[in-house]
Amino acid sequence: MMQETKQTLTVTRKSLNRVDVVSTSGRIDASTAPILEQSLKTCLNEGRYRLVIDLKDTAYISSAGLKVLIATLKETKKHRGDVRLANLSHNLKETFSMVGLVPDLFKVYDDTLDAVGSY
Amino acid sequence: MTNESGRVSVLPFFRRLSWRLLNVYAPSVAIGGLTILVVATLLLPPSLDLPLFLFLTLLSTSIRWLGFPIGGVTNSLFGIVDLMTLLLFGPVVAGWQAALAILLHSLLIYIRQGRRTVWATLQLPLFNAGLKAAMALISGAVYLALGGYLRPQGLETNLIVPGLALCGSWFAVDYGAWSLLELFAGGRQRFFQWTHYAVMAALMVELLPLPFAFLGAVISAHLGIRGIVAFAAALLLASLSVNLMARARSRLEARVVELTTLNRVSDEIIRASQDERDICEIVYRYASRVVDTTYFLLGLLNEDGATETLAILIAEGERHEPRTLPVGGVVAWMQEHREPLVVGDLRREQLPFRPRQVGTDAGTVRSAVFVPMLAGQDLIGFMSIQSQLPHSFSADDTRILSAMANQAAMAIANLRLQRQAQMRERLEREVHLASEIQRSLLPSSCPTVPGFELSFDWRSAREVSGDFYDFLALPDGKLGIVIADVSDKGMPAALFMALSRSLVRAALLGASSPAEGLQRANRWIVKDSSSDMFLTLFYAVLDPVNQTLTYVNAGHNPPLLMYHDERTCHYLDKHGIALGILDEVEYQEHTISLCAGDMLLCYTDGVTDAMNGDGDLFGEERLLEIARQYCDHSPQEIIDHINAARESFVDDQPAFDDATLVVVRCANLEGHSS
Repeated sequence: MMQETKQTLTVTRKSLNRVDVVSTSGRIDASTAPILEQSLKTCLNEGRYRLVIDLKDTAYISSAGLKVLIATLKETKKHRGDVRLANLSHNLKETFSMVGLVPDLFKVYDDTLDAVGSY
Repeated sequence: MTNESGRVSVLPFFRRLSWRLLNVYAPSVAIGGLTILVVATLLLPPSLDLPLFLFLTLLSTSIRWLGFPIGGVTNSLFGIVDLMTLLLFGPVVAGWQAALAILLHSLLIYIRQGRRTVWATLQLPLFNAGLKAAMALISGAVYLALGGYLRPQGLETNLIVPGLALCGSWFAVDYGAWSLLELFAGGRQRFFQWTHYAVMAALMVELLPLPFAFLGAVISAHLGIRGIVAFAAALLLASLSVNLMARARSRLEARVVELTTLNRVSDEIIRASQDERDICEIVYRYASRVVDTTYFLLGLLNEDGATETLAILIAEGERHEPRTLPVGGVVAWMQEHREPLVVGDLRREQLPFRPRQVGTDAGTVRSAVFVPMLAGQDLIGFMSIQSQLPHSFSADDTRILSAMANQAAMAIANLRLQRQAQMRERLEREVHLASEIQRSLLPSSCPTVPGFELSFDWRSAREVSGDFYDFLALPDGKLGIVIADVSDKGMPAALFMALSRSLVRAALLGASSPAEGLQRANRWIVKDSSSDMFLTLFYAVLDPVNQTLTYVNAGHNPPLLMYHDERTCHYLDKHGIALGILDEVEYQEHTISLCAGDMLLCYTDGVTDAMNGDGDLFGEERLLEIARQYCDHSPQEIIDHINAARESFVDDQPAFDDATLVVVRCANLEGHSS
């Protein structure tokens, strides 16, 4: 079995009153994207459709990671929710805008507080 | 000789075969023997020393209780006591004593072993009692008729003939009657088996000691009650030591049988181990030879880990249908403990798990042995033998059952591994096939366009890839170049790639402009695919007549454009959103004029995201550096340099993303100037 990357991804979740903040730490690539997916699915299953993804400690996201975020976004939109991003590094901003996800699809905020407050 | 102690399982035979003769024969002997005894008592009222009679009856019962197994049945020396009674008090009293001792002994067995079949509880003891009465009367009559007399005072020579006749007829009637019972119960084969094993052994251990009855009678005549007590003590001691010896021997024999059985079972498993059920059957068959399998369970933990299948389920000798259940009961317990579990008496002990197998929950089972089937540390299943009697199973039973269970477990584990390997192999073949199909979807060579040189490189991290490139022959000699990257990797990405590639190709070939074509491709992809996948795509159209390049970037890594004269580099990063995300998208197209030596380098992120052992990425800077350094070289040379640099950068780290490169160079009309 091929080991794709040694780094792992840690996903933590904080439930606020109306919004759930999901913070990631580590690379989000094809091998770690399922961890994020699981965590976001849990939110959706619990009926939490207003999400903020705090990407402060994530320096890299691959297309597999983007796929997870897009799928989650589509799902939240069905329930009049949203996925908003906070604390994007320069690298991530480039990735998101390169694929055209920002500003057309995701709203991006400088920090978590702004993102939570935007709801 | 006794047959009802339960150690000898003749009962299954009785159950299976015709009862008719047996049901006439056994009651006839019982009623006949006892009736003659009563009639004889009435006709010849015997004189009786009641305490001595009771003492001898109890002695006969005790010696019978100390019976020892030889030749498949339980033998004992009780005949000596019965014949001694005959010599002291005559055939009638001896008849009563022998019959009474039998019934007392049966009662003891009933008390110790609890509820049993009517046959074992009532019919067999009555048959035996009637038989003993008849034996006493017949052999007594023979003895007296040949001139034998009661209460002999010494071992006289004139007693030799009647004495031998007494012992011989006693034994002959006894074994004759039992042989008939066996014949009716089990047919000829069983009859011959019986005469071969049981009668031969009994000749030695039952017939030969019978003359000692005369010694007892003589001692009693000379020493009175003290003599009888001493004789009784000697008899008991002899019985006890023979008992211990015989048991030691039979244990040894059993061990030999166990080892042989184990050997055979492993042989047969090896030969027949193509099917889990076959292996289970073999183990059951061999287990039946060494332990009582009236209740037998074999459960397998299935490969999904969530269910178990009771492959073999025998209760009261009857087979039940296999069944599959969620893991629980003993399997759940075994998963934690991985050791045998022996329960001596379920009325006094609790199982450490909730039983749910037939038998254990019906309340009929008193004792049980559960052993795990272990292949190394892996629990494959469990086996269990159970009994309606308490404390039915010995440590030996547990040991041999465990040994068989582990052999079966090993075979089944091997079988499963083999099957998994086959499955993996098939999967690998399919993936390989998919990879070939995918490769066949991609152009294998570069088209030629006047004034341009082209080269490409496509490599996947796994057998199938989410990247693709394409070349489209457009009207007016134009050439369309596509490079794209599907989100995610592996088989789903490959399937999505195949779909998108066809849709993109169809949309672009029929489009009036590149932007319009991609908008259409996006619509189709969104409509056709309900998955959440998307793809980034860069599309460029080369116009050889006007020496221009028109491009649209749908979220793809911006390609590098290197101007030859200025040696400057530009990113073609004016882009829209990736394909497959939004329903309606507007793309912008941009046109650039090209001069000789200008170079376009398109790539997917697998090129720049190649990672070395320290977690550093190859990066755009390195790519740019190579492009700058070798911009005068041919596209193929540039690709070779990039690949070489990547390989030395990542060293021995495995590639984790697909990587595709397409390089276009505007031909230098004078050829290479470098």
